[in-house]
Amino acid sequence: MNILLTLIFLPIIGSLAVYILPKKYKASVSVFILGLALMFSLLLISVFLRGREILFSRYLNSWLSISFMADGLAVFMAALSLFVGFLIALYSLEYMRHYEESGAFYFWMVLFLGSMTGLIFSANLLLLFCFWEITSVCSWRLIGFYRQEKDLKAADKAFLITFFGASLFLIAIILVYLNYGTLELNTLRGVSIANLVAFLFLAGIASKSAQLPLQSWLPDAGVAPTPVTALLHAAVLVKIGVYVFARLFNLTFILSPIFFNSAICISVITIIVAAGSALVETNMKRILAYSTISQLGYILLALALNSEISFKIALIYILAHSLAKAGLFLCAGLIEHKTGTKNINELGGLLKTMPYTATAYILCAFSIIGIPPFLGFWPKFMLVLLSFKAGHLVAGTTAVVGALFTLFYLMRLFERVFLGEVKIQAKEDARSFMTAVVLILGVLSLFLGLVMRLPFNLVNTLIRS
Amino acid sequence: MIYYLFFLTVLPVCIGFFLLFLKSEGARRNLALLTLSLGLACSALLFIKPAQPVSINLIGEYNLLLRLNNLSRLILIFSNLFGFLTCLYSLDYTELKNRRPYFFYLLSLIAFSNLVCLSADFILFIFSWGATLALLYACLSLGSGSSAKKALSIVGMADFSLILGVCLYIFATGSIIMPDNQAAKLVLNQPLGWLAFTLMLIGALAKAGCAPFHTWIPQAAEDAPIPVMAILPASLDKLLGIYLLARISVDFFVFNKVMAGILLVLGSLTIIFAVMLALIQHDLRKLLSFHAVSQVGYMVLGFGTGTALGVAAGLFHMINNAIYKSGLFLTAGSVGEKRKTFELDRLGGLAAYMPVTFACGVCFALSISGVPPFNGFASKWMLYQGTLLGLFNSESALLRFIYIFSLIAAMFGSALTLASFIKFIHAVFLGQESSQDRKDTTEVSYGMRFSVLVLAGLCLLLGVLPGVFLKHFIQPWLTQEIFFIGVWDSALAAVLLAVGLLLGFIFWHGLKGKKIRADNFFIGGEEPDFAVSFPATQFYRTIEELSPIKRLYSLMQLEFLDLYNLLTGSLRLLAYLLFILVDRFINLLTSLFGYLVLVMSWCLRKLHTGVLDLYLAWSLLGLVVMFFILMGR
Repeated sequence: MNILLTLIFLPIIGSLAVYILPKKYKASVSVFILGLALMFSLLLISVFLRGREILFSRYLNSWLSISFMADGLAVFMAALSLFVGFLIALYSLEYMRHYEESGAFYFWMVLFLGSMTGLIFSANLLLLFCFWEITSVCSWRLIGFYRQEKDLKAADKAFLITFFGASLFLIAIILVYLNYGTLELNTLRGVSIANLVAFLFLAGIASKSAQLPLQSWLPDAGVAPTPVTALLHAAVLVKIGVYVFARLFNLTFILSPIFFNSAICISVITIIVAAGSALVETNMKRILAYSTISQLGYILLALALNSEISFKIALIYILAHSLAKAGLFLCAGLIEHKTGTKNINELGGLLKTMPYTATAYILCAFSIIGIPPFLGFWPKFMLVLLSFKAGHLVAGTTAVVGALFTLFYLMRLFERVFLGEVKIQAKEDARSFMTAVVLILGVLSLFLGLVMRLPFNLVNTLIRS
Repeated sequence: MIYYLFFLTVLPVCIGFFLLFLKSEGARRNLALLTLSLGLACSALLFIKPAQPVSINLIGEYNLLLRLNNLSRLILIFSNLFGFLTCLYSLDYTELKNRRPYFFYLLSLIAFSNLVCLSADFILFIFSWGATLALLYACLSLGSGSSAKKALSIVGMADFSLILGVCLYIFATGSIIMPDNQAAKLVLNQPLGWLAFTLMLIGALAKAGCAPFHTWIPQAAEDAPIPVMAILPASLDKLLGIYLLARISVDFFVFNKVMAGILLVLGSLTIIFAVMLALIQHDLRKLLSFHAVSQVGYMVLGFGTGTALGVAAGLFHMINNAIYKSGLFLTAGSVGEKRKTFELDRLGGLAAYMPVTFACGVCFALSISGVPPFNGFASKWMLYQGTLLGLFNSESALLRFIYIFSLIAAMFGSALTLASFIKFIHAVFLGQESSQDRKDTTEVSYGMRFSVLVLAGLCLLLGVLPGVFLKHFIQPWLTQEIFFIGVWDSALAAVLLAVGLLLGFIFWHGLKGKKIRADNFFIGGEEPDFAVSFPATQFYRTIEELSPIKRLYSLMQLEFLDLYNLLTGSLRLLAYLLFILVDRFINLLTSLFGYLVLVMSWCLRKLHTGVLDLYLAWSLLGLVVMFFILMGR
């Protein structure tokens, strides 16, 4: 229990420390805090595996209580988010070295990871909402980091859309309270809620995880510094939505089939529209942002199938996507860092001078596309199989067509940037943290896919219900 | 089985990965060869004595099943053989000298194709099949990135189609185990079944390289190193693709007339189309790659006949083709190794300098053309018989017409293949040397020679004794006995041919006693200029230039008929529509909403000017409205 509390409050309080400290210590202290938090989260997993759920509760009044709960889903998400966060913090050591305002950057990042952890472990809906909004604020400040006109506009757009969704989420919370008089997730387990309430929750989730029709903020958020895009908008923040979906709709409330079928529809439309849009764009980060939207559609589809196996598949998908998408964004960041442009039409021929980046890109890209033996293959294939088994033929077919689009747009990016004639010279630094991090992510995507039973066993052990 | 599994799949991948970090070139090559020979030994052992099946639980009720059946053990042993021979060959190949990842890719490729053979359930099958796609991309990227991308796109699309087909099949039958010989097959009487069949067929054909999914092979041939061409499109992809085709047409679905028609038409069109394009090639590698495509047509034809003889012929042809096609590519590689060029116009007269390569090259060329006593003839002969048998057994007139068309196409294709290879032999080995400086071109190294010789030996062996091969390797998988309808005794024919050649040799030797005067050319005092001689690339020029054929050729080479371009084009069109009509529209709505809010705030701003009189006027208006409401009650 102590571990749990430390895990949550260490980054939050640590971020304040980062804010106060003089500039030369900010970066390293943040990395240290995140590393420490990562270790605690792994410790928590081992504690969890020995006992069962861990609960901490301080009752305040009937609608708000400081309650935290660590079950299989929560420890998995926390460990994954902190792992990716830690790697990205390492990456940003070098990436953000030249910016004067980088201090504020670390403050917001650590605060974000702290509130993310708080959200994951929250066992009270209103507490969850508080952390949800803190992450929105962090995202808002981080997107507009460069303080130019277009950055601020993108940040405002992101904040307003997610705030709109969050407001609907809040209305849903109020309705739940009015119906049941409590907001404790443990007490609400097995309770059924009206479709209206469920759809209001879904609106909030869709805004956070950038599903249609609330997806337009994510491509615009590409103006942020690369570590921000990789952390928030690829690996961690956008997973909040799907995490809450899993928490509320798969593990807590009972819902009607109409709701799940609607969720499947939304996810299917998102998959195909985002995949198509990615094939049209020419800005590296926008392509990858649309790819994220599309892949989140897959995760949502897996969760919306609402069976035990599909739930576990969704978790493996989250694992595969977080690793590989972070890797792709960080590669894009490396390229942007060295060449100064994000437009793929202005780039070319970088394979010779940036071989490690190219290798890491291909490894991560194949995982996202779903080519064996990479990690991304397993959940994608099982998802198609499960969709067909549940009778959703259109969903399964769209999943495969989406994968075909993914193949084309990711390889198109690779071809334009790495093959062909050299338009802008760029050379990578083989010994930097940045290259190491992208290679680690790429190799992990391959390795975890090869040892195919490892991720499956992990998920099986964590999720027992 | 676990030990076999380890040596066949896990060990090559681990060793290959380890080789990436090894500094010494020699150690790397030897270790690779050792691993592959271990794999070959294991596959031979598994062939002789089958092992127990192994089941691994994946998740929930889904279990992975590893089990060999009679067909997959054939594929297993031959894929390991080709892997071993190619590895042996590539040890001395200069282009691959400092390419570190090559052996890693090769070892992993063999490992995953072994896993394909061992898979008895669809999940593991798709996993290993797809992994060979990733390795195809990796191997081809050793050449050029864009041809690798094209191969990835076409074969990737086919793989996704296969995934969809497999999932539909599982949905229709309810089981993830791949049906074996006697198990229940899916009857093709509803749209779902047909869809599954078509999608799975696309997956198999694109891998094997059948038209219209073949365009990646000639493109890859332009840049990829020769050993990569020899192992991938020439042998492994054919083995795996036709293996899947065999399972689809015999095990998974009940064979019917429409299936026969589709396969026959596709096969015959591939044969003709590809061989005609091969005839006009000037680059050795592209020539061989088009022939590789053409030969796949024969295999597909065999499965289309629907008779046991035809199916056996298709399988036999698959093995034979893999042998002589990889042999041809390796021969081409030897030529390129020494001459540094693959242009037919710049080669010639190599028979004098590279006798072993020449002899093997002739052997392979005669095999592919279907000349006895080589193996190509044996399988083509069986194929013709199978087609005739199918013709005799069929009732519908349309199907009979298709059978006759296929038979003619097959024979015509053989003739054109022979024509093409006469050109090949002449251009590369015979005739005068066309380069000015006569460099010292020697024979290639022993390792390279050994691989090619083994393959040539197999060509001859399988041609002379096809019955033995059929009985032990192919018959076990078929439920019906193979029943020959023609009269051809390969062993007797081979003996007679040998006797004839021997007699000829004796006559020639006997006559050698007479002295033959040798002198220079005399053409009226002019210097002989071999530039005006008749090069092999011009052999079929007259036919090429004939007006209808010329138009046919230009049509066949149209860019937009390439499936890859069609696919890319239609995907991009769909993408644009989705982007503009949906995503940008939603973005527009969101911006409109924001704009609406701004408009509203502008209106409200206009109402709050700060002037007291305006506020008093508003209050008065409000008072009046309230007065009216209260009065109305």
